[in-house]
Amino acid sequence: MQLTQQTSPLNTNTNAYTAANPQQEVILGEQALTLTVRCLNFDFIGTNPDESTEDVGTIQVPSNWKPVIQDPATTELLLDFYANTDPPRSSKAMEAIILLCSVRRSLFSCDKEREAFLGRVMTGIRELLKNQTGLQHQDNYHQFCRLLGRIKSNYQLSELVKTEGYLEWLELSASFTTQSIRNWQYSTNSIHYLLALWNRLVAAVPYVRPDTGNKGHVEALQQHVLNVVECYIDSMLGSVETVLRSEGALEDPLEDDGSLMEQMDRLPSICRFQYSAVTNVILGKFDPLLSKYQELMGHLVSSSTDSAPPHIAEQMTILEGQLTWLTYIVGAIVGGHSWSSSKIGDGEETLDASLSKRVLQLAQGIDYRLTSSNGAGKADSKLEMGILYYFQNFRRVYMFMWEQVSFRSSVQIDIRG
Amino acid sequence: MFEHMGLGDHTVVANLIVTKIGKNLKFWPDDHEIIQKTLSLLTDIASGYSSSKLLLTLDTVKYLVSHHTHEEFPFLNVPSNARHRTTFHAILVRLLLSPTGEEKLGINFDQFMEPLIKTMTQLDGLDSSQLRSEAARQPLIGVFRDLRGVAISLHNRKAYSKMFDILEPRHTPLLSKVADLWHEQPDVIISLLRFMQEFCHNKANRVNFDQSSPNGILLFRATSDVVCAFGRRVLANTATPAGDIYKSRYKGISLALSVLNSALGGNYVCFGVFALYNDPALANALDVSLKLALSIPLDHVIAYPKLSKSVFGFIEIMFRNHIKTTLALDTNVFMQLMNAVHEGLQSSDALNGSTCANTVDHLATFYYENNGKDKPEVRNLNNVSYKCRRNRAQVTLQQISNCVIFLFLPFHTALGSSAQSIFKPHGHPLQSTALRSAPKSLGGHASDAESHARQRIQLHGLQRSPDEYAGCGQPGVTERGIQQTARRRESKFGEFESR
Repeated sequence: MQLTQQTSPLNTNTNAYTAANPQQEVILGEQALTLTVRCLNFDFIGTNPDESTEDVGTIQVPSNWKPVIQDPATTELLLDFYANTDPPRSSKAMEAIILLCSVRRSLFSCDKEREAFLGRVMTGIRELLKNQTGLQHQDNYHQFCRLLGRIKSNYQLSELVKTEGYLEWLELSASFTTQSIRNWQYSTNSIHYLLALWNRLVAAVPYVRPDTGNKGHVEALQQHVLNVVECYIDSMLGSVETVLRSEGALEDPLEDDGSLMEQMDRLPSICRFQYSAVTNVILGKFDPLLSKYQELMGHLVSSSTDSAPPHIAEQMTILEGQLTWLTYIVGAIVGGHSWSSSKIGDGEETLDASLSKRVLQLAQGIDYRLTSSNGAGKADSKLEMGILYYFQNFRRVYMFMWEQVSFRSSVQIDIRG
Repeated sequence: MFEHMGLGDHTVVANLIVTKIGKNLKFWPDDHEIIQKTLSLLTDIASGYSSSKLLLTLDTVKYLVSHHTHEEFPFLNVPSNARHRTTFHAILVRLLLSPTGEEKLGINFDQFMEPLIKTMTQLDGLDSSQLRSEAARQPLIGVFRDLRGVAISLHNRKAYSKMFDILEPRHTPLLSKVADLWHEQPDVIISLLRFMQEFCHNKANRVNFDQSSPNGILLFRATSDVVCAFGRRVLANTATPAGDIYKSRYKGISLALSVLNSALGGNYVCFGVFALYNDPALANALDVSLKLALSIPLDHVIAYPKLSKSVFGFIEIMFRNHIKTTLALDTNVFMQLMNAVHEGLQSSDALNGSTCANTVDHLATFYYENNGKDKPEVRNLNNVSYKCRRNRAQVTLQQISNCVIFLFLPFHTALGSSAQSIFKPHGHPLQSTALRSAPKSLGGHASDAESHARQRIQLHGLQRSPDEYAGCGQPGVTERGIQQTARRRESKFGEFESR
């Protein structure tokens, strides 16, 4: 129907470079793309009166659009267009690809067709990732992250796993994620889409038989997830110092409450996938920071941070910022118990306990300093907020147990150290 | 879990958390966000069943409860933390009044209230000029916000009577004095009115005194004093305030009306007593509030949702419980009320529409039950409708009569299924409450009402046959349509008359 009509202008456009004035070509391409995106974005069944969110649900396209959507040429066309143009046109093309990926599953008459479609998209993504085409532009980059986040929500993990080159795709995505996280200054708004991708991949693992599709995908996933988490923690901790050194030029991600909470929401299941390994990573970072902080607090016992000599004050600020990140992360993980999945095994609880112990010690330390200096020795307010966040999560998950604690049999595991 | 943490059992951890909360409140008075998050954490802990029982055993909580003044907790004094004061006190009183709360915390309600009482006694002792000075502002705001917090957590009759005995009669005169002196200062007057609103609100039937106790009447008297003092000052001050008119004027009026709404609708005082013993409290309160309500232009009333809620609520209560007073009003005033109701019926807010529909219901029921009886109110009502007929040129009357005609419409046709179709609401589902009640109240008077209506319609020059009216009532023809037709015919008739 209309979509076929638009793709033909796109076709003629790309095939007839010399036919028209380049200026008109550009405009024509842009208009055709905008029209495509609007058509796909149309609310076919009136489910969503609120158009303010960026996130796309499943698009209920009518069945007579099926031939166009299934046609490999369409995806090829869009990917080509993306590769050959600059933003804003290329990001529109990427948006169109995202919308194509979000069409309802029942559009495809059989599994084979769906798999073929998915395969083409995945190949396209792999090429993009390998060649890093167009990703240096902010707009493209943002849309691409959305695509990665989106691809999992519409297709089951078992299908993804069966596509050709899944492992390669996984590896490329992982390195892309780590790279993005390292460059957090440019990508704060987009990181949570990537985290959402890993979140969904991890959440789907229990439902996929390990022997489907490519061999060893579960182990690969485990490895990559661990890498991603480590990278995330590292770079967030590093961000504190970078922000400080930039002296106001860079925005502190800790202050951006909205995206901070989005990222924290995605973390729990990712971290719990490899809980003991992740805990070790966190503890490895937390303990030295904590002892250093306590040492510095000992020096500054009755004075405020501001009145201390500058390099000590700086150190304190950096330490506090890093501890704030760790507190938020621990708070998110502890609060992220999903009661529907496996019940809290004693193993997990132990890990929760060891993490909580650190945070509580931190809280105690700050408390002590406050009281002994009678209010002058204040920690950074962001750290206080982080601790409150942790308390809220802790209360939500563990406080109801207080009455029953005395009746539970406990396993004596020594977790000190 | 707690053994694994190695810090001690659950009480130790809980103590740690609560101590941290206390320290936050103590040492971060200026940081709005921290105080807010800390208080919400405390509220959550206090609301849980087991966690609140645990809280009662902790020393920190005992400390909080016995030292809840601003010497210990400077955040209470920061003006922007005003609503946090309320939350803070609400939490503490909730813990105190929970079962075994008082014995575990080692302090009883009266001792808890001592600091507040002390402040109030000090304020009582000031004379008018001192009371109105700037130095008194913060203590006044503080004490009212705290009292509101305490009142929020009074969940049963016993607790409420304890608080009532503390306030009355020693401290109630202070309330009306403040209303009188500080009427144009929004921050003070709003904290006072919010406290009164909470205090008069009869939730869970807590405002419930013995048969031999005059407390209900005393409470109403105090409320009436406050509202009258405030209202009189506001009405006298007709200068348009600069700046945000809602904040400086309408918010106070809205709150005053809602205070009176809770008091009138609370079911804890027998209002007939006032007339019997010539106590002007009720009459004054109704009078002042009516003037307040009508002093605001109608489009402003509709524009501000909270204001419209209190104004329409007030009108509805007037018609529900005090219809005699309402009908004794001057015709012009009565017409203004009906005009307001008419506008409210058409508002897009469902709540307002249903309140106004209830108002019309009460009026219609009254008419039905009392038509033909010789009572002063009935005579008043008939006077009103007579005057309506006389002053045909008034537009408001047109609208009112159309309201009334709309009610009488079904009796042009045989009562039955055709009436039901006429009652189909035109996109306003809640108007049907009024419409459904109309046949109930007017049902018994078919012939009477019919002739009445015929008379009225002929008078307004609406010479239509009954069948035409049946057609009019089909969904699609809105009330506005009828109005417009009526107005057109009316203008023609008016022209004819003037020739």
